Amino acid sequence: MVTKEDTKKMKEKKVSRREVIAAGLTGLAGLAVVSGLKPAQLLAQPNKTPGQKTSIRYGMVIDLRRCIGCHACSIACKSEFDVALGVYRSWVNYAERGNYPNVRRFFFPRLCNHCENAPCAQICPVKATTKRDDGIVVIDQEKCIGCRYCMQACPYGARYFNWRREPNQGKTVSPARKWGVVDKCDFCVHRVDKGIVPSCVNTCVGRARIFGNLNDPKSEVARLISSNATTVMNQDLGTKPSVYYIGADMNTMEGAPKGGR
Amino acid sequence: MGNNTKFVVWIGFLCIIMALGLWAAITTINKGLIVTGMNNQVAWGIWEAVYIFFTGLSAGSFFLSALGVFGVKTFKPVSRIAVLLAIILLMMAPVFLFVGLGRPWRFINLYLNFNPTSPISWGSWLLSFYPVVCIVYLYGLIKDNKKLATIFGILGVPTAIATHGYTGVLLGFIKARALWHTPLMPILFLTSAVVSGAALLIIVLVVFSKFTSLKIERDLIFKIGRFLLWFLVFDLFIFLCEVLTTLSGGIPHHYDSLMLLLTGRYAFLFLGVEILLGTMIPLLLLASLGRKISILIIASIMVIVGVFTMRFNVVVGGQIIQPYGGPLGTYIPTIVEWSFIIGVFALGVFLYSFGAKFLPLTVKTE
Repeated sequence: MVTKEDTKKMKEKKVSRREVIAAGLTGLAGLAVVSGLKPAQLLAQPNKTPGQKTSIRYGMVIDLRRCIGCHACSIACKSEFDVALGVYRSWVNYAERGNYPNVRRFFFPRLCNHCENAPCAQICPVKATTKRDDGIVVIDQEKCIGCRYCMQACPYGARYFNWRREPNQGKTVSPARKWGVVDKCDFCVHRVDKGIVPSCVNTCVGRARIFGNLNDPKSEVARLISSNATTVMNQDLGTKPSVYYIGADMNTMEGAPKGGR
Repeated sequence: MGNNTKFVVWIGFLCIIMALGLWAAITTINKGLIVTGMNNQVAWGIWEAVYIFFTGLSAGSFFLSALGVFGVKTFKPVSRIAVLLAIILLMMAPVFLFVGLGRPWRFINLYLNFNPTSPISWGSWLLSFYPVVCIVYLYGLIKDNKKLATIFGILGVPTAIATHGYTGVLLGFIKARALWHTPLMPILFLTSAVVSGAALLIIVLVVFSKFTSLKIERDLIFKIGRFLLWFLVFDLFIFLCEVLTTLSGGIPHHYDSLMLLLTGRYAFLFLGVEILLGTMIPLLLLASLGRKISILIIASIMVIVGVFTMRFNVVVGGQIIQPYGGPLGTYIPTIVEWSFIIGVFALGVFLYSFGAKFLPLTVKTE
């Protein structure tokens, strides 16, 4: 026996459920709109107390537990810069391990490690590659003679040469790339200098890439490094990279990574 | 008169080959390094190998020339011939570096900026300083100015060691390339430099005594042959040290890059050309040599081919294995690269022909 009141109640219930879903959807859509309008994640500014100088050493933590191997970082980087065909400033290696059913695929995002003891800056004959005070290793494309010695020296294969002599496309916001000189990831200095995180960090769907000041103990990167087991690439070479990995299987990655470049 | 006509024809022939080299240089500078076979894995190609080969020949020739000034009397008649070789070879070597730069005209930056921790910074000054020393030394020899020749001969030896040893340091500094990263590299390069220099001098002396009025004592040529033999033995010894250390160490990157030479893609060039044709057979020929100039010449040519292959194997073979497990690199020199090498080689022969014709290179032996 269903009374009128009951039907009314049920209707109300239905309506209210519908309302809830609708509200939720609107909220999600609203969030999407907001985040879509938001230009970029801002870089946490070091909390400066007057009279105290906070030294900056920019670095990145790549949390591989969160990486899904979507290559969005590679694409974001490609679109940020006038990157030549066939090369990447930032890319994702992957490797498989084990036999069915015990298998796993590892992803391994790569970029310039902005080493503290950068072999490239050490051997550049014209000081075109230098390490900035904030730890970012940059190339002065007006100074570089294109001897490619730094490409030999880099133990991370992060550098490439702009072989083709062709006018740059000039379709990007970043400074246009030059031909006949060496190029590599520069942690998006043009963004970082304006207080915005690098493009790959901004785009990373799983927030696997985190960028910040390694010297600021309150920064997210510093907290992640102090509270997790981290590794760096080629630790034995003493380059002291500024890119830290959480959950990296270096044994597998050093073996035979596929993909990427 | 007939001799002059021959000379003109010879120079004309060289000019045609030099034009080929000029075409290659202009093509490269105009279109960029894309016309070469180099790529992001193998960023240094055959030009860098030839550059190291030529500085090696130059240093080797200089040592042999300086021996004459330092009182080894038997070597005295070849002093001038050898030092002119050293000068011309050293003028040819940096040409490859210049055209091999991504932005050739920015080479001036090398002199405007100095990075004390960069081998190339030191090397560019050495490459400028060494020819000056050589030229003053040759001037002293030609003018029979004993004091000048001795001072610059003495100054030249460390400069020659530094200039060629630098190429070994250049590669040895690179910890990312396992095959290069050994302190033995400069020693290995210097030894094979002397080997190739002696072999080249033998060939040049024989050519000289055939085409000019100069008669060089057979004894002297065979003495250089003995010298070549012992340095070849020493070269082989250093090589064995390097190979055996790497094999017993078994450190993955070092081991892999060596196995590429022993069993991999470069096995033919390494074992076949460099070791068998370039070292073992000449060693046997020189050791069992009777008194035949022709055998000496064959051995010398083999040695030079071997040393050139060694430079190629080290420079290019060292870049095949990528740091951090990247895909193997490949490199095949293009026609442009070969043309440029042949052209610059012709330029060297061209300059030497003029030098041999117009400079008093021969010493009267009283």
